[in-house]
Amino acid sequence: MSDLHQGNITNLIDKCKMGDEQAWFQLVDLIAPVIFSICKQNRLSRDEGFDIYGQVCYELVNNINKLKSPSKILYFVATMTRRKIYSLYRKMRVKDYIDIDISELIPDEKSPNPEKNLESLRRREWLFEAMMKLPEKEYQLLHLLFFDKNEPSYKDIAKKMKIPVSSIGPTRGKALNSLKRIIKWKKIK
Amino acid sequence: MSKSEEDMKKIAVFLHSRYNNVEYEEILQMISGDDDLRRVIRQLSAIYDENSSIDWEKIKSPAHEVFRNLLKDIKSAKSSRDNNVAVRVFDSSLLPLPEGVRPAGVDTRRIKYIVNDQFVELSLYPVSPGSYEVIGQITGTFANEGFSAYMEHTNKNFSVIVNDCGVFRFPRVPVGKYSLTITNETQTIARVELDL
Repeated sequence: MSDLHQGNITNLIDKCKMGDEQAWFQLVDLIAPVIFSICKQNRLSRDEGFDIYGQVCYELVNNINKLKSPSKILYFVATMTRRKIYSLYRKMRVKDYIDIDISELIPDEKSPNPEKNLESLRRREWLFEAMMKLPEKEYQLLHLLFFDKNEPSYKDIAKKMKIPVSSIGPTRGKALNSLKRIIKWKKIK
Repeated sequence: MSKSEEDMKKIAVFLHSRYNNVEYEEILQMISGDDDLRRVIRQLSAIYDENSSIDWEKIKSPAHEVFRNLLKDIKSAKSSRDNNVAVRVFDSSLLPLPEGVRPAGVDTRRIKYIVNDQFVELSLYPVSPGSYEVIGQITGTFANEGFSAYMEHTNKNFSVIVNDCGVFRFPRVPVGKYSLTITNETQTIARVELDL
């Protein structure tokens, strides 16, 4: 996520469009967990997950120039992933053996009642977007506080961010307030 | 540690689902009177759950490797004069073995390519230390149109007929670098670079 914030996602995608390989790998770090999460939620095996991942990446690389709204990239990836999973189901003829129409589970952009998973993904996307609007220091602090798997102590955070420990509290408060304002502004319920 | 610092620690514990009953009650009490905080925590929980449902660190390296090969293949396909160069989207040899599984001397391998909205899937089975059985299938628009498949090496060529189901089989192919082409009577449908 920290990579995501560098100059925001639009810059990252612009770099990808120009063929910057490093930017592509930063983008992969952002989108791949989403792809694999959806595959896992759909109970695909590891190999099937990698198969879907490869196909979605292929679509992304070939369509990156057509993306009208770069900030919707997670939505594009999630939708593409679900379509590929549906194709896999269809190929396996799983659809014939279950009593619901899987196509109903494949959301499109106009879907008024998207499935729960998509809601969760949207929340993630909204939060990403909201967090991306934070100043970098605030973004970095929230990331270190809540999403860093190493769970760094305040001392470590201060060292990493090159700020005094005593400023973590006020910065965090400021960041959360900014985030609340952005979320409110975006009318997220 | 200040009160707000303690509160933040509690939220982190909450997000990581590592609270005890007392902490859980404290956290609930803390957020119950603050709608904004509750909303932010819900958002943070959602993003944390999404991230923690898979162990990205474990699959990051093979995922990058798959992507590196994909980029390479796409570049190569774009720079080629033909529009039938296949791009590898899946290769089982790039994936790590499950925990506790020892690598075999020679392993079976599955590879999947995309070319013009069609898939070419190959399964490679070792039949001797120096050769593989190659079974492939074409799926997509032209899958049943009576194709032939050719495997070409500098001094070895093999050809087989693709059956009505889009399946073809080379029973014994010596290791080496091959160019596998799938053609119908008039044109080449797919070209795959294969390193056995």
